[in-house]
Amino acid sequence: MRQYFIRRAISSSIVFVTSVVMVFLSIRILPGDPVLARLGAATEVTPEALKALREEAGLDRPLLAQLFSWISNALRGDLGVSYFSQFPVSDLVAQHIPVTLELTFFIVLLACIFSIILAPLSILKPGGGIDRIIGYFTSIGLSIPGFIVGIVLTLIFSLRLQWLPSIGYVPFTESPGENLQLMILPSVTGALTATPYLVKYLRASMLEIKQSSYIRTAEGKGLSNSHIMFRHILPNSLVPTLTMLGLIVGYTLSGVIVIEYMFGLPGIGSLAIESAFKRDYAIIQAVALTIIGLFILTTLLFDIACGLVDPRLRLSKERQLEV
Amino acid sequence: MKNSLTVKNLSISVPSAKGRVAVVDDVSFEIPAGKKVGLVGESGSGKSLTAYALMRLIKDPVSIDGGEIFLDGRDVLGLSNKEFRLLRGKQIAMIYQDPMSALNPIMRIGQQIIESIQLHSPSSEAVARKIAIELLESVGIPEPERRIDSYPFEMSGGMLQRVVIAIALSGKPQVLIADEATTALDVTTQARVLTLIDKLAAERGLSVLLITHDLGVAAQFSDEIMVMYAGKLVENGSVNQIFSNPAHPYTKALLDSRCDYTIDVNKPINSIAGQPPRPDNRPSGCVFSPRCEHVKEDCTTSVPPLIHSQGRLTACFRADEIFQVERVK
Repeated sequence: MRQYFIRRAISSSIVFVTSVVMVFLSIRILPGDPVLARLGAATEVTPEALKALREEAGLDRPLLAQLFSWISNALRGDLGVSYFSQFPVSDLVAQHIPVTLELTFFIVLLACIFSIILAPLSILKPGGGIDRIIGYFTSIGLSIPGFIVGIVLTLIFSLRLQWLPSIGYVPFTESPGENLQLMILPSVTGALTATPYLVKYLRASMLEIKQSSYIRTAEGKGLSNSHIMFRHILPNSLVPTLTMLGLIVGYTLSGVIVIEYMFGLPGIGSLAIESAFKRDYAIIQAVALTIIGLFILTTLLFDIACGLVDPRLRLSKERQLEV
Repeated sequence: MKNSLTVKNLSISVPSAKGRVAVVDDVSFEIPAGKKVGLVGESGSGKSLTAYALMRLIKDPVSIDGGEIFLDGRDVLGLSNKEFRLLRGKQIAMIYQDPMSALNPIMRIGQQIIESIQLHSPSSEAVARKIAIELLESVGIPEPERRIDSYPFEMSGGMLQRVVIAIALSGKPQVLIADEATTALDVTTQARVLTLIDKLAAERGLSVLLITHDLGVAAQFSDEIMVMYAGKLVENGSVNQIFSNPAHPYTKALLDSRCDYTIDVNKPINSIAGQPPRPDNRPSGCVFSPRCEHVKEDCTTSVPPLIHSQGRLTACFRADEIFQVERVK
């Protein structure tokens, strides 16, 4: 188990560093210039002034030098300041991340609830009516992009029925009720895009386990179908599904950018989009760093969760085989 | 005498390119209360399917096409799923082949026994746990108080087979089906598990159906033997009748191709020429006729019924002749 974690830590760091460097370089290769963006519509810009501003921000230095100074600062916990607002980047990220985490939490929670209802329903009678209907909806869900789902939901529930607000954010600590109400549409939008993947995967996994000999043993005891479904089939199919869920959580974390922007939620995704327009390098880099870090962390956490569900992964090294 | 289990004209079929074909064809037998019956036959002869039919564990695309199964006088196939579930595990239970895959890999073995105990006689967790420990002890698992919290992957095949037996006994059934219960085990463990089933059956007065392809195991264990070939029951009699004086040519050929320490090592081992027919390609007439050395014209045109002959049931037109020939030898 320890060896596994060491190997895991090494491979995670490689992924982390590579992706961070790629983000750093790619935003600099993109056309656009933070200095020009900052000056905006100012008419009288002398080349000297531009040069001075560049030097001030350290943008005139070679790319590699910029990269190394950023990495060494980041390692010391200093992510720099926003080129525009001059706020420390770490403060900005800290301000915006709770919204993203809350949204991701609700999306994943809803997706899990939907899947744990739909997957068992569809394997009750594989190929039967319910299974086919669920199959159609997962296929439709897989092929419709999230923002279309969001627009349709907003049209129906916000504009037509006027049940839910379509835009805005109130912190949970200020007004839990309003916060949750504002979270409903974005969460459902995200969940509807994540659920089909999860249902498809969980269904396949449950179907396979349903055929196994130990399920026949369970049936032979005279256990009820629901007991077999929820105590035997589901826990066993969770083992492979958890890894998949970890990936889905990771994708959701990075994928909520569109949803946040659409529903006006001040999460890390909205922050990233605004900063991208302004070429505020320090913020984009910090956001990328955060999302990549969270992605790696969640997949790791879900692998550990697999061990909790499956004693073979957890105990194989700790206890000796007894004959 | 009261019969615990009666099977009448059971037929099971599977789909094939030629439509549905019978893999168990018109099989009838009885297991008297407290008797141990061995069901022997080659792989693919329909033994296990017969067993699963008794437990009503036949699944799509395999289906039961006809026949009746009576368990303690109740028509098993006529019950709804829900009604039969109350009998499953409680009246009739099964020991499955391959104990390595017959247990839920992520559930403690104790829990797998306890859930069955609680299902059949509602009791508190503590009481059920105590019963489970007693069961583990009765199937010969050392240190049951500790082992009850083991996971299947922490135990050996022989121990797991004992756990599977404990699960089968947990509902206090009257009929026990042991489907190749010892096949996955090595010979010494095999003997121990067999002795254990024998002992438990005697203690609890169980009727046992022992399914095996191992004639030695069947002879050692059973009171009666049924021989199955290509989905048909071909002979059914006492151990003595079947082993000392077979009347069906297949039984005789099967016994002749035995391989144990009594055979002459200088002679080649006998075998039955040819292969059993595939379910979608069964011959008309007697299913064994293409491989039978006593075959005559009748055999290929009409099916010999399973009838009383020489004190046992045999499905062969020439049973009497074969019986006499064997006796003289």
